[in-house]
Amino acid sequence: MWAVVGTPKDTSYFGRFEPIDVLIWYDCPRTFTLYDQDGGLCLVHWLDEDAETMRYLVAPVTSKQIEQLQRGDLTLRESLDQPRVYVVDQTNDGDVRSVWLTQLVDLPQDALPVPRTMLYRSLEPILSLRATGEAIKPGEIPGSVIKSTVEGAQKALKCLAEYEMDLPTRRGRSSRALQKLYDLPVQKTLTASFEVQFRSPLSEPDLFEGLAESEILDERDVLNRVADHLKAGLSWLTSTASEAAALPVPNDADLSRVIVKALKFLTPSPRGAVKELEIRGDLATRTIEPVRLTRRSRGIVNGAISRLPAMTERRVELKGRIREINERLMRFELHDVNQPPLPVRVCEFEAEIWDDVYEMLGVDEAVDVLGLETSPLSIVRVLDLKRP
Amino acid sequence: MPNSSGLVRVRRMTFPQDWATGCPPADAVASNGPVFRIVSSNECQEADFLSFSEEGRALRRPTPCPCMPFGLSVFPNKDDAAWMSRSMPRLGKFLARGNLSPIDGVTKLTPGQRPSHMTWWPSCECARLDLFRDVEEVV
Repeated sequence: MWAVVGTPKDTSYFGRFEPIDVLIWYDCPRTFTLYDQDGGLCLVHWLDEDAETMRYLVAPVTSKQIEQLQRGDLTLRESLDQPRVYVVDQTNDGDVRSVWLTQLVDLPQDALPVPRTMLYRSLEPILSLRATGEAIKPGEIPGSVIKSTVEGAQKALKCLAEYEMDLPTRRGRSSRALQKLYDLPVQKTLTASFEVQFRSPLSEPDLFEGLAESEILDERDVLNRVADHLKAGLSWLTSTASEAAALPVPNDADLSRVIVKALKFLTPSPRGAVKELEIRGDLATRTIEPVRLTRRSRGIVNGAISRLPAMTERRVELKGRIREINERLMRFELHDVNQPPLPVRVCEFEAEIWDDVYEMLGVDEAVDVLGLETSPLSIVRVLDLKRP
Repeated sequence: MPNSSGLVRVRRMTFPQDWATGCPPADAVASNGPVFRIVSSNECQEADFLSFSEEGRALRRPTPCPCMPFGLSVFPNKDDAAWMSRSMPRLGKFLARGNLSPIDGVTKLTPGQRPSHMTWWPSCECARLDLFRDVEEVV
């Protein structure tokens, strides 16, 4: 066993070293709480063992910190990183053999939890984005960075989720998990750079209430497919051959189009404050290593878009009456369209014009819709609304 | 398989005599299917498959299920096993995959907050090392 750098302490400091609440079990209690001899709450985490000894890290904590750990507001490593920490050696009989006062930096780093690891896997962010750039400094995060990072992720997922929802096999069937993806709950923001972490919609306790087992499996399956699309896209975008390869999914132009559109929301703009975006999480990558997107990635995406003619958007001005709104998809139906005449066009809008859309819902006067379309029958992406 | 006299020979599972009374628990079911166990290297060792009790260690405080120290922690879900390895890297950075069959013992989901954590009580008839041939590094 490795030598501990620290100051030896009385072996009775942690009493009988009895777990109060076992948080992680693997063959035996590995992470648990206990009280020291003064009644102070401590978090205990297994570090290593040999044939005669189990070695633990003990960190005095508050009950609030334990709650934060259990909620996923703190990682295991953050919870253990306290000003005073102890290493405790326990014999096979359970007796405390040695106690040292030490510091986290003096311990073998490969004995500590890997950074970002949560107490439970279900607490790990499904998606995490870390933006860096010259203008991003601790305490000085440009608003545009926050907006582009958070909204970029949500728009990218919305794009992929809508593709799955609109598939003929799924049409008409809702997915609670996918609906949650549209407005992924933010788990945590960190400001050393700017990092935003999103919690899995599957960790919402009431998400599947009332659903049959087969429906729950279906929900998980469809969410997995969204993740597969995003992983396929990021893998294509960051592979060395990406510029040469025509499409992210060579044999499926429709899916490639959706993936490329989603990636555009994530890639840093050449004129923006974000220079690089690190993406982690089960939704985006199969490893714990992040995927890194740079401003150059945007160029690759734009190149792919130019190879997909149907994706080229053009301006369109429509006049019609707003009749139906789908709040979940943030779309409305524009009826009695003239210029060009059509009975109905489906338009999708952003949250910024939510009030305007509602104000014009059901009114007899036709409204002017300024938007972008990829074909005369495609969904119109609304840029502005004007009441005549 | 029927023998020459036409009788079917049933292989009977047994468990160590020195386990606590009532172990393995009555609600554990015959093991079946693939599970993942964290191992220390890309070649499994017998030591990777010893229970807390077999290692000669004793718990300081009884657990709600007194049988758990006689069993081995395994995960039917590989990602959960990988997460456990990241939580405690010195457990090992490799995952061994074993395909359990009913003669290999009994299992019970013992999840806590980890949906797929399972305790496996290997039978005396089980050759543990032989079951876990596939090993891969945690990524």
